[in-house]
Amino acid sequence: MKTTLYIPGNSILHRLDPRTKMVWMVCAMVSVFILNNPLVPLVVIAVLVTFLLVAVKGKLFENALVRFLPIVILTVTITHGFVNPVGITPIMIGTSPIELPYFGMMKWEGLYYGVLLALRISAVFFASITLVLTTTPEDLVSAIAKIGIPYSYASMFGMSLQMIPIMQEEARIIVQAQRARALRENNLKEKIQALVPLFVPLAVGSMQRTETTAMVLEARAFGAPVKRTELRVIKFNTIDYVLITAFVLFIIFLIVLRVVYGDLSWMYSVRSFWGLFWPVHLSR
Amino acid sequence: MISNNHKNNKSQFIPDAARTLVQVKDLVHVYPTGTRALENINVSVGEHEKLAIIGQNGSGKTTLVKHFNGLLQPTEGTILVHGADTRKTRTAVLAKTVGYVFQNPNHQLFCVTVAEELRFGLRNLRLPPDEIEQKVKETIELFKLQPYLDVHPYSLSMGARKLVAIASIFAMGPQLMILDEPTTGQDYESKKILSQVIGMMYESGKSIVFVSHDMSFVAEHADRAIVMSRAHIVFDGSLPDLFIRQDVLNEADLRPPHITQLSQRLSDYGVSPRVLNVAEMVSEVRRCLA
Repeated sequence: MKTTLYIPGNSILHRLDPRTKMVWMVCAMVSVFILNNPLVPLVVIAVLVTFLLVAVKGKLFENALVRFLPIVILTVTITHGFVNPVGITPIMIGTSPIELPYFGMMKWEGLYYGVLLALRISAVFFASITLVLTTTPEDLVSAIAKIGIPYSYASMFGMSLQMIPIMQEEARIIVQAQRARALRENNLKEKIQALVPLFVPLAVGSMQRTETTAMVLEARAFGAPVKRTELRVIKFNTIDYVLITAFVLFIIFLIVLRVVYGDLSWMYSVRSFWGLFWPVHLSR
Repeated sequence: MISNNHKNNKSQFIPDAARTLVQVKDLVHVYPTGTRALENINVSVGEHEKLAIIGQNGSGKTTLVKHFNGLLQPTEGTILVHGADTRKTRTAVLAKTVGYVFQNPNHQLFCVTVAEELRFGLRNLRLPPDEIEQKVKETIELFKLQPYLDVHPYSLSMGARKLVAIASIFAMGPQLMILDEPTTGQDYESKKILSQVIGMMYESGKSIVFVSHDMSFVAEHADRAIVMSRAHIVFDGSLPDLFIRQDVLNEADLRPPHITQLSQRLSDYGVSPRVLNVAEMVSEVRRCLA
């Protein structure tokens, strides 16, 4: 059973100081919101995914959250396409608009905004899992403690991250255990009713585990009033300084662009699918 | 009578086709992580059997039994339950024939009272209310659960909770009861009750399959043993036959129960090395002294 989200390896990402990855994460998150231009998140995503694929290869797609991302992207894009009030120009297929009862027509401006937002969410998402997938929980906790957060809070964060895969495994067993009792899940009503036999054991189990964990920690002198020593020491190398400089320069570059040229959005001139990602009308 | 008949047939382990409950053919199971958990498994479970599946942690025991009611689907091969392919039949349907009691009762129990817990499976099977109450009543009597009826399952001791979990599956009336590690975390008293319950279920005509590490418990309750090691079945036969197979025991890192080891050491004095319990030992010693 896998008990952490961490995927072992020896890539550049794995060797970086966790604090560098935190700076990277924050820079990636900030950068995608400076301009209203989908090219920035696209570039950020491309860089992050390339690094991730080198670091953890195909295992990236085994992560439950990564598998869930397409649903988020579709939901955000479609919802904004229909309901975002910035929308003016209906999307026409031939001569007929895409229309939903009550929601009305899908608009190019709304869709542009939806795509932008979905790309921003994906960039933020990939930036966050870069940290979690390539840093051992121990290093992550000591890094959080090193940036000035009290150690008990840092380890609380580390432990809750480790809870995710444990809970996933637990939930899988409980589903099986209830199926063995002929749990009915044929239609929506039965599926909703089936949540009780699944949720109760999961909740009770996690409460019991929390209690046990607390006692185990105390039994092992966690929080003793002494200065902690570290088994694994994390420190900055040249590559860390280089990368942090690069991220900061990237942010400064985007801010300059914003001040000089505005938000660089072409929301109101989108008229085609590819126009959502590239200013087609300008290159013409 | 039934158990006597069965004991006489101990050496004949291949159940004839009409009486086969579960038939496993060329089963291979590969987990999504790439772990090959089961390789080329061929086994069948007949009606009215007491079968123990033994082996080290990670040898594939639980993975194998989870195929018996469709909780896991084979990567290759087929599993037939009363002739029905588990790939094409839902676990909820197979649950009528195959009952599976999980290792940790906390994964199975969720109701506010023990009585509700017993009704849950029966309701899922869509039985009429009077039939449900009838079956619940029978189960309560057989498992001697009267004192616990209105108690919250989570406030019971681990042993009693295990018993409730077994009863909740038994109430559904399956012909095959699978018990995964029934003795883990059980004290002597609970184990004794568990032994009685297993005996009772067997007497009522069920087949019992249990996964266990506890060799004296296995020796006491099983007529047939399957030994698994590194995803393969390395032995399928009677317990006395198993305990003299040193190669199998080494492979699976098993030791016979102490009483069997003693009988093997005393075989030079004419004691049969196939002794499984104290009563048999006593009669063997009596015979030799006479």
